[in-house]
Amino acid sequence: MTTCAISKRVATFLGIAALVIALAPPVSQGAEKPIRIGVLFPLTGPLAPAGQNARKGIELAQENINKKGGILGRKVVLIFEDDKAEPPVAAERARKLIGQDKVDFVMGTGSSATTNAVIPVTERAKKLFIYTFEGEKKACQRYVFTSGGTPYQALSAFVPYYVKNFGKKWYFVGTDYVFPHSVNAQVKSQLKELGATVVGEEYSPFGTTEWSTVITRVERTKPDVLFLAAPGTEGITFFKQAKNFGLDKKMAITGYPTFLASFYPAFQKDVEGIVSPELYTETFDHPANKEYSRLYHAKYKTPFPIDSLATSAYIGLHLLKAGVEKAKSIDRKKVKAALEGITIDTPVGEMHVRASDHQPKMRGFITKVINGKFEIVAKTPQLLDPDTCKGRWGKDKSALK
Amino acid sequence: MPEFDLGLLLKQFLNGASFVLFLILIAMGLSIIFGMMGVINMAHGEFFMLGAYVLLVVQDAGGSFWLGLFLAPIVVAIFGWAVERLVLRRLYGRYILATVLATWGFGLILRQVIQLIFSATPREIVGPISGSLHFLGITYPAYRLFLMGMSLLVVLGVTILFNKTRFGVWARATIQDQETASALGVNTSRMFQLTFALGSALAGIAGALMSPLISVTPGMGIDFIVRSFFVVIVGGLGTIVGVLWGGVVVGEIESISNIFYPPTVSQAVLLGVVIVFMLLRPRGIVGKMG
Repeated sequence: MTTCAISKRVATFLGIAALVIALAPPVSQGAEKPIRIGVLFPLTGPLAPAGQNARKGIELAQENINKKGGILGRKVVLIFEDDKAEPPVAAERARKLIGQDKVDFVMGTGSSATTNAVIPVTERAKKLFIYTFEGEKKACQRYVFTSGGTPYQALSAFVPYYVKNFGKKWYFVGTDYVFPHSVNAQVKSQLKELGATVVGEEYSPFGTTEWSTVITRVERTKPDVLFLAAPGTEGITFFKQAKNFGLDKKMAITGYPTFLASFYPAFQKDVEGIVSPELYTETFDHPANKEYSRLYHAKYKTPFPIDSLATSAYIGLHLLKAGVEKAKSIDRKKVKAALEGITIDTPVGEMHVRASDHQPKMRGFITKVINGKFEIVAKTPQLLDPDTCKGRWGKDKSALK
Repeated sequence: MPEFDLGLLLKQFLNGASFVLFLILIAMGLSIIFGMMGVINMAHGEFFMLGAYVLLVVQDAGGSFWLGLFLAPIVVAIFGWAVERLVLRRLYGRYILATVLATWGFGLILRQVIQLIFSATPREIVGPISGSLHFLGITYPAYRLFLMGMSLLVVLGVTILFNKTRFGVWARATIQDQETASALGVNTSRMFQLTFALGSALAGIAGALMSPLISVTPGMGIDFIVRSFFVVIVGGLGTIVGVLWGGVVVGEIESISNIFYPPTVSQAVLLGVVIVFMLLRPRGIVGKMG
């Protein structure tokens, strides 16, 4: 009986395996072979909302590029893998994309930790890697490029503006991990220059759901400004409870990345009137942005504003396209040379890739939510340099600005 | 340390009390299912999440919060009932890990299905009561006070159900001796169905009630299930009084140490106390020793 069951199982397995092999697409030959791009995003797990948005952006870019004839006449094929926001998974999935799926380029990830795990894999396999998320200082490597900005670009114009309009006593609340700490360090160094003071700073672990004690403490300290560096769930929960306690009537509340358009579906009317920094806003009056916004809403039919994560993924694929077309090749050395110093037109306006460290120069926006739209109250007049990347290559003096 | 201030003291007392009552509300269903059936329902967090999503669907369709709050426990109870009928029923009497694995797996499936339907983006549920109440010289959010009252109602309702109704008598008989109860005409299979549906409904109503104060995502249950387990374990497995004790201890430790330390430290304090507690009283506060 047992042997029968086992052999039945083996037979089923073989049957499924045969079916999978039979159904697999034949490897096409010749010059019309599509360009294969491996994309790693956190599609499940704690960063899933970010990963899902980024996926929307890059799929829209793929559709748009393929409709216009692809890259160098070749169709773009995206092969997605879920990195679950875990570095070991990201590295393993990257190896799978390169070894098994034979991708030409690798893009994606959702955090510095996963990116740092993927880079050694792409470097060893000699693949060009484009990091598509905004985040703190990034790892520098010769064959790594970035289409997302850094907190520095988002905050450098914002902090002086906010101090001038809302006051000098700042209180910080954040989630306890690297990104919020580095965002707050950035803001604090700016506050010091502006002569503003930090009256409180505290961090709470992932998954904190009860904030009343922290809220009571902030209320008692009476700051002018409460700055939230709590992305996603924790920031949303904090703000809902703080609003419940009427904290927003006693002080100005802002933050980064708490109030990014990414999280608008969770806030809606609650964030009406909030002034916050953004690296992208749908209201930016620019032809490439209008087209992007139209395509996005036509494809996804969402009533919510587009966020910077979808946008930097969208820009990432267009950046690769510009590089490959300028190089007239998918050879990574040629594409690298082509991308260095390139300037492309994007939904966030002109973007310039610094030859020295492959980071983009771009604008920062200060937005205010008015009737559910992130309206621009100020934007930086010229493209901003990001802070430099870090890593072996970054220590090379010639690589710095 | 904050200086003495009566208003602040009252406010911190309410902060602690509301947290305790939220914990009791969330852990109640978990404890009932364990106490009655010996099943550790690992999908409790997902049932909690499902309650919030029922409310979200009602709200998106233009329905009121109250309609959603009414439907959430019903829908989740039907879900729980179906899980019991289709899966758990076949696993009774086996090693306890069988039901742990089954409910855990079901929770994973539920979470991913909700993500496929609603996407992973956090969503908003608008609470029915905004604003604050002024009393004794302080102001306190009205919705939090409402939640505290609802939690007390749930405790009262469950206590009456188990102590004053025929269902309660049968339920207690089934816990004490399943075979004898069965021989005396109690339909124990039906008792298990009803119990699991009741525990699920409590998770659903907790999710719906908490949803205006938190971020609604497919993974929202995870943050709550850990503390629910603390409450159930510290208080003593499977009794209503145990849940109350567990809620008070877990909630107050975290709230009080939150006043003096940053949240990261106070959560570590809580974990430390729970571990020491487990060593000294492995059966919880009200659990029988030996």
